[in-house]
Amino acid sequence: MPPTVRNADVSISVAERLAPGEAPDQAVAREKRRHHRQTALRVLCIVPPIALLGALVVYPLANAVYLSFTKSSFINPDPDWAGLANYQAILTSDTFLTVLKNSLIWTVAVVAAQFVLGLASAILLSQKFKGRLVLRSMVILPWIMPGVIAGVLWKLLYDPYLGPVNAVAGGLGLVDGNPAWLGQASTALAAVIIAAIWKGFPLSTIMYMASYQGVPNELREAARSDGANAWQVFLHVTLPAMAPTIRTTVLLTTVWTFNYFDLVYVMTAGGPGTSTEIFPTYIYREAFQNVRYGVAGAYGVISVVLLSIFTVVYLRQLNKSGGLD
Amino acid sequence: MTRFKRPALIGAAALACVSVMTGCGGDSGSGSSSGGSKVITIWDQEQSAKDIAQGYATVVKQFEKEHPGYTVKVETFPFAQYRDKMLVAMKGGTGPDVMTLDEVWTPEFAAAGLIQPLDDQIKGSDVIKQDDFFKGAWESNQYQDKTWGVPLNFDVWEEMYYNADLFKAAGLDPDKPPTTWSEWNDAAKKLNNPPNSFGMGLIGCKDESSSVMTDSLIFSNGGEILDANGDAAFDSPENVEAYEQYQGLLDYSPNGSAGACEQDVVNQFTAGKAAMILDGSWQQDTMKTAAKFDWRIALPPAPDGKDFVGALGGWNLAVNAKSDNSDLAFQLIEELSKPDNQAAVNSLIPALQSAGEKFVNDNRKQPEVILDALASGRPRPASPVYPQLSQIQQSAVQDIIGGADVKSTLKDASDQMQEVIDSNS
Repeated sequence: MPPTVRNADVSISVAERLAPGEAPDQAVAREKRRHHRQTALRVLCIVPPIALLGALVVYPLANAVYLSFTKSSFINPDPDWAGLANYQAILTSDTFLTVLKNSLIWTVAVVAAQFVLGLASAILLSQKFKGRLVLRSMVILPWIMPGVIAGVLWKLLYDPYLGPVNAVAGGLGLVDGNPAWLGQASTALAAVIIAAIWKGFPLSTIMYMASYQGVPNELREAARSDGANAWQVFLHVTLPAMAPTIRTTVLLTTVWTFNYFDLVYVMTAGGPGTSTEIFPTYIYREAFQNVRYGVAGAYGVISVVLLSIFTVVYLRQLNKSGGLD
Repeated sequence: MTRFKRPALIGAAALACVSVMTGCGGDSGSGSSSGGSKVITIWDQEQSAKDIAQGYATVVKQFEKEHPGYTVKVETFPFAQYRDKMLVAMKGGTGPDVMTLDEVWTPEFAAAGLIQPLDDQIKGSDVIKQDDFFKGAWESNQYQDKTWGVPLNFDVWEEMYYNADLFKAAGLDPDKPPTTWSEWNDAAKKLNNPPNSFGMGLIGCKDESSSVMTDSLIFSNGGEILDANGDAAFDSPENVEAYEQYQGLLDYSPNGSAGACEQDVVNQFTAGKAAMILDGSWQQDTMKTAAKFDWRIALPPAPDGKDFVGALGGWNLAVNAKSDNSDLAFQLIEELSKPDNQAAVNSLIPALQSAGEKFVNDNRKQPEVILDALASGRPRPASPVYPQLSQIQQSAVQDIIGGADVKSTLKDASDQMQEVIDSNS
């Protein structure tokens, strides 16, 4: 059998590893079989992850996109093709603008505050002091608490008459009377934002703590001996060294916050009116209460598009500017 | 052969994943999905004051004895999740054979073809007789001239709970609670002593309780949600008056009514913060343990010169349209509709008149008030889009709490309701 180029490649390596009494041709055939077996193995290895991805990501996503172009209801469950009607209705509705605005305020405020709070607490908890281990374990509590429990807890904290928030704020003379922070449209969004910041910041703390401690002390020493003050050391040495972690953490918290459902649902169910309605709560309302899968699907697609645009722009911007270096 | 180890592991893991997934899927399914099953599944919501499992166990034992070879599986879910679970299961074709449905969902499920009409089976039944049930409960099963379920329990929104101690402290006679809206406003004003206590606790959060509670104000004033043709009639002058009454009472209620659900308002009452609240008789179980003062109930006040009309609520037993054991499913409903059994699986008032009246007399304080309120009640609109109409109503309630003009709010809401009705007819 005249060896092909491919076989020639194989035969070079084979020539060195001939079994005793084996002709080179036999050895080539053996290697070819091995090669085929390896290819089959590779295909076999790649199938389960692709099947899983297809079943768990691609199919639901494609189905949501399809649904967003259809109209159905509880009593007429078979989806009828509606073209762009859902999108048209959404993009011209006041509710959509409210949901979009709330989602943006909610995400930006929560992520920004979690970044600052996470960074500050990470640096504080990295200092050497007594009881630091206890504090470090306690700071994770909000993060591990189930969202529903946290929601109920904050609802109690905000209770106009029995809650400690008004007791403290009133005692300090900051508020007059007994405002219902969750019960009035003007303050409800801010109130759930504060709860969400508290709930989520420990993850940032943990990430930044690990990253902060990974910055070599020699670097800081060197900067100090060059005459940098503490702030300059932080800004020009510590922060750039932490940049990769910060980048990832901010991206993750943004996506999580944007999609975070439990807290708002438990605390206000999107009310009063639509004042705390964000994408996930509104999608839930349309899908499971109004049973309008088409509209819910369109809201879902819009939120995926928004997040994708953000992610792409964010990553490209960071790559261009070299991150936070 | 070490290089085979990893893929083999991945393969095993993938296999495990798949088997776990199908395992879950298979488990959550039920008798209705597999042909000729010997398992009858029934779903019910969890109820507050009682271990329903205990009640069902007796009925199930009896049923299984009478139908050898069949087993009955009872599954209960918290009310908050019940509708979501049911929607997903029914849509996926894995719903239970028999289920309890909130009255206001029954027409919706019927219109969607998810449950089957029971007229023929009821006609041939020795156990289930229309006249044995409370009239309002039976009516809630009627949709497009067919009967879609058998009432399991029944109650009315609502009675007025009041704190007699606070009445005395405010110089009011606790034996003469207000009976008209103007007396109600006066009493609320006199009882109002913020921030220690308030005249009235009002439900107003974004859920069904805000609709059904304010329905009783509307009905009492002669208003309605839908007219006889099924068109929206939410902005009638009667309804405007009813919601103005509601808005006026907010002056004497704790801040944050827009976030106050049923349980929050009950807490206000049991904590002595609210002197009066509107809620149903099922809350007496909570009051008995949580209210440490002289609490009483009364028929809620009505507009001057009119009678109080409550809004009915309750749960029906229905049969899955896709059940392949529908005869047995109906027999299970028959079993559950015997007076003793119906009482055993209920912490709400049994829908059979005899069992219901006995239940109220045995378990409730001031049973005569509850029976009066029950007799007064009207069902909420029997519309296949009721849940959507109710959400519009809830938003309107929240706007009204926020201080919006009642007349224009109801006009907007009524237009939105009509839009929903038109787009689904």
